[in-house]
Amino acid sequence: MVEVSISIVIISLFLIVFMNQNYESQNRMQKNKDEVFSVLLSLERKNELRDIIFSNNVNKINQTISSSIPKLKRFYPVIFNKTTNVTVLPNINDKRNVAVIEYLISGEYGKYDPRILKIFLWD
Amino acid sequence: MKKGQFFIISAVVVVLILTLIQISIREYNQGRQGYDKSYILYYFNEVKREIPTSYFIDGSGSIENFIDFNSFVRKSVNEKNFYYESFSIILFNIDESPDKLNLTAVNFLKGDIYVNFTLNSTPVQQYGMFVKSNDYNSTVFNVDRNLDYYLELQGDSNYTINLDLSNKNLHIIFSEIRIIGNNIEYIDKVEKHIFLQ
Repeated sequence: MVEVSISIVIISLFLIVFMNQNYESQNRMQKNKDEVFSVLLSLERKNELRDIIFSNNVNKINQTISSSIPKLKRFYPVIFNKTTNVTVLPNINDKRNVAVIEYLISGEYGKYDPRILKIFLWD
Repeated sequence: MKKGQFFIISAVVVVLILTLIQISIREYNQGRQGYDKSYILYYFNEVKREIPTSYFIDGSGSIENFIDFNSFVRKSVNEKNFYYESFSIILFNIDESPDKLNLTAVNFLKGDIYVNFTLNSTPVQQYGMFVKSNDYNSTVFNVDRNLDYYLELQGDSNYTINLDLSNKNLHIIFSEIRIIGNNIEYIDKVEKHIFLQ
């Protein structure tokens, strides 16, 4: 009887830790994505985001995200044009879970030149 | 082996198996986690905003840029294992006498399409147009810019656009946009009226 109880305790403890880890990880990632996207939308509302992306100003994006979401440490913005990245890529061999937020523009007023801002977020 | 020991060893084996399953799921999810349902809705809204913008972003109104941007979006959406489709029409006044209205249809649907356009005026003008997939086609209607019109299009879906042509610098962009995949189907229509010099 004691052994059966020990077995149940082993499996239950594992399941509690296992389920909680997954749930917390997914929740944290979703929350981070929502917060980063809100920061982008606030820049969009101020009519700054298009110019920031078009001028490849990843420093401004870094500063804005860092000041708006101080607890978010692991993120990396990259800007792509139609064919390649125009700012430096992160280490994409990182084994941790990664999420990507994207923001798309067709150019700056006066010039057609499509760009995508991708913000990589790590768990 | 005692029966009790068997239970404990079985529990350890079950935990090991569950651990292996957890590791496999994590490996499978690597690189996939970024493109979930909520994210694709954000992206869809960006596409809806930017597709009409691509036509007038350079200040002149360019069908070439509009088509190029549709290709750019399709490539970007395909990279996420989703599928992008759109059907658009672009209308603008031609500054000639008598007044004329140019209509260009741009087809980024999976297949070719036949569309009927009806310009409600006196007399009613009708035009049937075949547009190949990933291509465009144009026609011209005779109009009187002092009158109000509405344009009905009947094709993959039906839509009506009210036309106030009094300003000859008017350009109208209408698009039906779809992003499909992973049990998700976002479809919406956007209509933008702008004035370009």
